[in-house]
Amino acid sequence: MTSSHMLPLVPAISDSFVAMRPSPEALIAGPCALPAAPLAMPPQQIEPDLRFSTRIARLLGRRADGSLGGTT
Amino acid sequence: MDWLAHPRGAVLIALRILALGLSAMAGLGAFVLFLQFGQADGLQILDVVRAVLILISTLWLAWGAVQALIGLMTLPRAPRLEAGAPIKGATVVLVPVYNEDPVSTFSRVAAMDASLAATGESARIHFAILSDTRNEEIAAREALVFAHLVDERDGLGRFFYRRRINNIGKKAGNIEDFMTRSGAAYDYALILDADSLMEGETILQMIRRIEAEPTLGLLQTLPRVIRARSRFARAMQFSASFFSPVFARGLAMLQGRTGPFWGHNAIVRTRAFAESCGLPALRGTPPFGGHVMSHDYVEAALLARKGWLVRLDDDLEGSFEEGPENIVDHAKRDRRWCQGNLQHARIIGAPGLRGWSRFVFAQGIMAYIAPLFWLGFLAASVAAPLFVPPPDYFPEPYWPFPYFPPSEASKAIGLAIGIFGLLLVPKLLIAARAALLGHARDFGGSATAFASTVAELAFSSLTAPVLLAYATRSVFQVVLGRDGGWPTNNRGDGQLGLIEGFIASWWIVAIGASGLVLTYFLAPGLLFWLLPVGLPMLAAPWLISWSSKPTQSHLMRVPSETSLPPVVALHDRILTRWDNAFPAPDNARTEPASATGRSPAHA
Repeated sequence: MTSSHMLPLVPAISDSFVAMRPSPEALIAGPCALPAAPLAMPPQQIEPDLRFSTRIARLLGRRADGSLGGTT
Repeated sequence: MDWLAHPRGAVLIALRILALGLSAMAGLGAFVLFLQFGQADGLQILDVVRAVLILISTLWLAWGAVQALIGLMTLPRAPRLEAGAPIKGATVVLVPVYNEDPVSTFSRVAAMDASLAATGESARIHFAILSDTRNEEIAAREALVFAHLVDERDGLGRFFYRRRINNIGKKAGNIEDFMTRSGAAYDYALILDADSLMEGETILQMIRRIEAEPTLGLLQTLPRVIRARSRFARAMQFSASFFSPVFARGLAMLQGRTGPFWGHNAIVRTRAFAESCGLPALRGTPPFGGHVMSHDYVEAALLARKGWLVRLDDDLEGSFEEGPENIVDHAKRDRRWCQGNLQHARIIGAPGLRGWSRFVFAQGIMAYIAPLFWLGFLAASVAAPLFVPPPDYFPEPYWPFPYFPPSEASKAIGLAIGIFGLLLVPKLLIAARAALLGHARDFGGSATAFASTVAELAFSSLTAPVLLAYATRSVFQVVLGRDGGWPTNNRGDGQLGLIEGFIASWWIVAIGASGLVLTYFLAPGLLFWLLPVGLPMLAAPWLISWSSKPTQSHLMRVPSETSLPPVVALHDRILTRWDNAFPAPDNARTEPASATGRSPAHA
């Protein structure tokens, strides 16, 4: 009876040695992929807030500060 | 003299006041002289406008000159720290690439790794190639050459490669993507450009310095330009090697805690960078909105805003980059920088920034709009005679003798001499000091260094009108809302023919010719004075072509040409070998394989 299973090819001891190198794609996807070590990088405020509502709020805030300053 | 080399507190404030005060005095002096000159034939509105324009222009020139004069006062000094102290933290060297030739770029990584290995230091230093390459063919070549790099340098576990699916945020986005993915794995990140090269010992020094100073968020080196071949590139290389260190010394003395970041050849503390430098896109569309183009200045300002120290250590040698080989490539790069710097007008008012950071933004903007003030001054000067009333030689009725208004030409000549002095004197002083201190030896000796200085002055005077024309056009393009995009690199050898020069500069010729003709008819007395500006503009195609040709002149020799820095020599050897292993595709390069035949790979 013949087996239907195929045995994997094993190099013979007499075969010349060939180093098993992963393909460039395998290298990049595997051992040379960036390590997973996330670091939060929150977006910073890099523009002055020139919206009208913000200016009014700021102005009112300043007035409130000023009135407090005047009473003490 | 450490208090002066690295001034702090009251000394720093006094130095800044002195620098700004001297510049303001020069500007005001020019303003007053010009008004006196204009008064000779009766003061017109246009005279006042011209006086204001000359005030701004002179102030700007003087600011550059004062920086050099301050820089001449001290020599770079290394900060005191334990030599050879063991390095504890982990460092990653980030190499962002964008459609560059991977053989050229990755062989630099191999050279830096070999240079590090030669130091015998066992610090944990990894390399990460962060590809934003859009071209599939180049990307495939990147993978191939990267595998070779890993193999040759036995780099498994030390070398990493990642290609982004999209290139949001361009270089800043590329670095940010790394930080958010892998930043926590490292204490420090050395940020490079595709054309950066650094000695292993310099990298170790940078790590030791950032490790020794816990508040140091960013440490910038002064990269030297190497491998220039054309007349234009060699002039830039000489300037960067001979003059720039003195200007940088001045800058380092004035920086305080808010030094510069030039985007590469600098090390950052990853935690500081991540918590401070997340850059959102600016509201609106490019050129003023969208992603921040000149992100480096902004990142330096944001680090300083969070209290981190940002420092330029100009004493560090062994930091190299390459530059454009011709005027057109230079103008292309400058177009991008112009847009980036003008975009800072949106950021200059951001809350919480340090005063000096805002001043640096203003300087960056001024660097590009300064030519407009000169242009305005020239245009107003040509138009001025149209508005001058005819001279009245008999102002007193019934007085028989004519009255000749006093000539104030001496004031104008004095002013012109003063302005030329601001341009020439700092460079001549730098040459004199190099001769006195013996630094000129590395530049071919005192006589050669002095001749090179004169040659560089002549060369920069010839090319300045052409470069200013390009800068002016860039400003107009940005203001009119034309986005410069992100042009890819020139992969040729950088040589340009006369026809290519003409195609790139016909409009400069047209403006120069029109300007001279207009001056001849409107203000013939000014024609002689305008020739130094007009003639180079007429000759722009020839200048572009001539300056792009290679030269091996003894003039403008730099130390890296006479004695090759070890890491550059290493890179040359590796590159020549790799070039033969990975011949360039026909469409990518026409040059024979040789290390010195490389075109610059400016991202």
